Amino acid sequence: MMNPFIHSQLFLGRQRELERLRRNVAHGESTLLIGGRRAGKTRLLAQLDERDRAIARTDVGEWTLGDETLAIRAFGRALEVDCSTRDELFDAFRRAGPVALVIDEADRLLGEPWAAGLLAWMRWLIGPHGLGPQVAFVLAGGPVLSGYHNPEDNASPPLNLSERLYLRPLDRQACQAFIEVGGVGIDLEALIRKAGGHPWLLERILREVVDGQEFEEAVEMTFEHTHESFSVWRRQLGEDGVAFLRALPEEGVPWRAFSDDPAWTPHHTAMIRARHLCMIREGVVEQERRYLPGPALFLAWLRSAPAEPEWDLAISYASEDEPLAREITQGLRNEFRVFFAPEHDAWMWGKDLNRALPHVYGVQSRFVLVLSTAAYVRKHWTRIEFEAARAREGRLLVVNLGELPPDMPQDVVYREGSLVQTVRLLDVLREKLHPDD
Amino acid sequence: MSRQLELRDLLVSLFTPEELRRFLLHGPDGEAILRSLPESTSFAELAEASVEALERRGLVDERFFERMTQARPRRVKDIESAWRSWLRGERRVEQPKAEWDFFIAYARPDRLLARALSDELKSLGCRVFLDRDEIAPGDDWIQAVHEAQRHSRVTVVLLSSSTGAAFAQREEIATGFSLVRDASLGHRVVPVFLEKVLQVEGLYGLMSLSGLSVQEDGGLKGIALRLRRMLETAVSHEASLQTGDQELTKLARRFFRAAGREVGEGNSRNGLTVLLPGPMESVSEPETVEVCGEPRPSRVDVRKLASRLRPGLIGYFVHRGELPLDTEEALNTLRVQGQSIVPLSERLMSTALQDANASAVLHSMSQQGRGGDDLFRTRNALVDRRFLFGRSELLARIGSALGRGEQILLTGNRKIGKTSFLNILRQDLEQPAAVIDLQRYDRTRPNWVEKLFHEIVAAYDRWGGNRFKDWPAEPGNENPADALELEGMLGERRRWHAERGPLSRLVVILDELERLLPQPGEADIARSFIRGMGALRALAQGGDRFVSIIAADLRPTANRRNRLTNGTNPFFEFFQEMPLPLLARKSVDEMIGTIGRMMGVGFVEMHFLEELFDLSGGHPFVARTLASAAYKQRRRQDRLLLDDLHEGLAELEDDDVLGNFFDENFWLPLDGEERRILAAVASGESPNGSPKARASLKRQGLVDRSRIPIAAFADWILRYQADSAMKAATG
Repeated sequence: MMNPFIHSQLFLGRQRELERLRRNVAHGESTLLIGGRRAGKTRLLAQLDERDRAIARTDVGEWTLGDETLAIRAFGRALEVDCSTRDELFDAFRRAGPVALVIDEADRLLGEPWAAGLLAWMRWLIGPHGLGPQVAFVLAGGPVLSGYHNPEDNASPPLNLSERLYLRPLDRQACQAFIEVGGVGIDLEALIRKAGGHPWLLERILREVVDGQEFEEAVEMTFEHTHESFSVWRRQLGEDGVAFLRALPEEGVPWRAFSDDPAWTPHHTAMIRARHLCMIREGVVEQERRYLPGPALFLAWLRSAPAEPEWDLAISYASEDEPLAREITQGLRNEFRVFFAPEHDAWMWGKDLNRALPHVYGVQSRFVLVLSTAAYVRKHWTRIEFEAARAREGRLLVVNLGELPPDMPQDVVYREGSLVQTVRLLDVLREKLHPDD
Repeated sequence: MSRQLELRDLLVSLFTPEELRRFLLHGPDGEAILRSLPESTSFAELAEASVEALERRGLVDERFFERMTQARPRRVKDIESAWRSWLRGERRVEQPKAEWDFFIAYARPDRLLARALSDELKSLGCRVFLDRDEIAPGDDWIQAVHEAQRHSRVTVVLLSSSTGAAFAQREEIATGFSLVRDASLGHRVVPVFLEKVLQVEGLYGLMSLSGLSVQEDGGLKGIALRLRRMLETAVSHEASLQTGDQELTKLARRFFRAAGREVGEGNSRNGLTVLLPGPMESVSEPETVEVCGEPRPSRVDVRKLASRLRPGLIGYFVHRGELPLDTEEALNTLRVQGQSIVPLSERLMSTALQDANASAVLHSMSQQGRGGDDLFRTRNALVDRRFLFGRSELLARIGSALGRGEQILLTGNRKIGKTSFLNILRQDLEQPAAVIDLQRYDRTRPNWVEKLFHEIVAAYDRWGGNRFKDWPAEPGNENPADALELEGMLGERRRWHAERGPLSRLVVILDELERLLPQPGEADIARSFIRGMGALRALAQGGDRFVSIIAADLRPTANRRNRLTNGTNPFFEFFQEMPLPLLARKSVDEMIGTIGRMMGVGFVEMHFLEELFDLSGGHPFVARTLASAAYKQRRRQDRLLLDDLHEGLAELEDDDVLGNFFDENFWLPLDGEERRILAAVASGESPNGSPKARASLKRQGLVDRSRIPIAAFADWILRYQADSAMKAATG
């Protein structure tokens, strides 16, 4: 017998989301489909059929992300038209009649410097002076899609005309349906405990069971195959998400507590993120709807996970700019781990700074933010930090506040001083620090 | 032979008396029709009475002839011939005969000027009604004036600072508009400005019309010449309208074609069919369009269209002016029953043609018209004025300001309805207008300036092409490279226009102005901004002043920032700022009640409305989002109750719908100081902080008299943001 979970395209338990998506598409309403890695976005999109309008599809994961022209060409290919300018793409949409363009892995676009302009144009296209509801976009991606806006642009957020459709963990009924598809006799409760309502974990465990493994062996093998994704989930959860999962008791929390109970309202946003990453599940306990811990496989890993790079961001600045660096730290610390030297005096005490600083800025941080001024360029310790940071590619985020280091790598994109307004700068950093799907 | 007699003869030739009775009995309203027929009479009289009864009920339609063909398939040719005759024989509407060409409405202090204008017009051979000249002693003055105005082609309104206090003149203006609204009369109202700067409150409709000015249009003699020329154009226009609904049908054809639909002949009297374009064409059936220009469409017309619709297909109901209330109700009833009839007004279609957005407008209207949909849900800006509530006063103020040649900056919070407001305002504009959503331009590429100039000239040409058959330029052919070329091209068109009728300013509407406004330090973007907007400022303030600008922005920054990185902001202190406020309670009630009725909700509990207003503070998007959530949770089909609202709110909370909205649209654009003040106010403290930040929050409708009027937002701040905002402020 064929194992139904190998190369599976099973679609179970997401009928409600599919109906909402179909309805939006039929009405020409653009939609952001938001879910964690392997939470089932692509499979849901595959179910979208041409009932009421033509469906064109593109996957940003398959593009070369160079400039706007490449993106427009990709959109054109989806519409089966050759085009390379906005005007040509507009004509292609106009001629296509009612159409929905499905853009999978759309969150990969967001970090591109040209993406904000293109997304604003797309907002115009679906508005009353473009083509209106004749065109609907479906953008699928991770949590970073929600709340995206271009910090260099004060205009309306380009995605705020779109409805957000969040994936949720699969319910008991759907988990049962998976077991039935596999035709295996395993305990539903045990499966739910290990996989939560995460469809990918469910399928992986069942795949091993159908192949003849005992349940516990299947769980172990699943862990071996999946834990590479766990660090991505952890990043998508963010620090507040991890803290929430650690605080969530085994018996769960009533759903209304996140609106009503001061002990849980601070976790509200983190709970929602954890939910569309399928890292918690919904259940009814004593006739009360509750949010319960999600896949034990992942949660156990989370508790014993090896250390990530110590910091998401280390700030390198001259002492004259300490107020700005402090403000940035305050703005980001709830979501990210930020290294801001004055807050780590105790840690640095007694350390050889000639060794400790290069380690922080060169190894232990995912990104280094450089606030570059004339003073920064000339000072000893900042030079050490900068040299350590530039030693590894792709980590430098430079804000030009007057003068740039002479040895700045040619290909590093730096942001002009117009971003000194802290709020804007924080938005740019948030975008950068949020992990890809 | 009349079409009734022709149909009578056909019936006589097709059926025996008994067959005819049976045929009628099996048709719509069969029993009632049979009961109304004479029992003992000749067959010809019976057939004639049958035709009368059918026609009275609006049942002589495509379906009736189809049924005859099914009953007598061999006589299909005769039946089709009778059907064509029936269609050809559409009745003509008698127009009230105009006795006067011009009726002059004036304030008593302007009587000498009114007499002088009357004399000028008479010297050109026009028939002019001036009350003092035409009413004999002993006549009923009020009745005589009213009758004369009804029997005039044009009401000429002399506007001066005396108009505000002239009760009788204001009555005449109101009457003039009521005559205009009845499209069958072909009446026009033309304002004549006697003074250069004029402020008359409460005359919104008038101020938005193309007018003539004593100073700018060659004195009273020049005005008289222009009025006579306009009359000649109007007469030929009326003549064409009297040939049925041809003009409206033609407009509908152009509209649907511009929207990308293939247009075919319909089977009804004034019908068309339209087909979806592109890949869906192969799987779709033609949709039905009914053109109902004359007389004003009734509920019977709506039902007739509904009776011809195939299940699942949309029907379009093309009409002039506003729909009568009972016709609106008939549309609502059908909507609730799941039938989709989309009303398309002449104004909406002609504006869409001028703005080159027929496709977007048609899709938006179709989306709203679908039966069984939740009309509270809204993401895009409105194009249908039936959904705009509580804005008539502001429309009036902006209309007046435009009439005075002022430049307007409309400010307001995100999703408060700025674009919707501009869309509806634009539909009211008679004059040429260029509507530019600046999101379409890439601010980092300097060529947006040329694209903007190109679009302005193209919009002028589309307006001219729609209005004059011999307009000298095709839209989209001109590409002005700089401000001088733009001025030259607009000037050419303006001169051509001036030779043919009263001139009016070109209105340029710039939506999302903040999209192009440079940030400090953005030198290249500032350069482009100064070049593009400087050109518009020059056109608005130069000798001719032939451009008016209405811009929309979140904040009034464009009007208040003097210095840009490498020059002066051309829009500094240029606009009159007009904030778009939160809706008043009664407007929210009206919005919820009206939209609810469209979906079959006949009752909305008072406590529901109270709490909805409290939570939304009158923010239209928030109010509709809450109403939509409640609508989904409602326990009874036809009611919205407070419990439904609570359930809906809980669902929104669970998905953080409002939280996301507040965060993205209200919270993110604020600076740290503004956030701190809001956090303090949400916690019940007094709103201490810089006057600038407090004023900004007030203008955005986020703080009002030491409270946050949008209670749901205040609650969100308190629960999720207050701590971090206060910490950030204290460091």
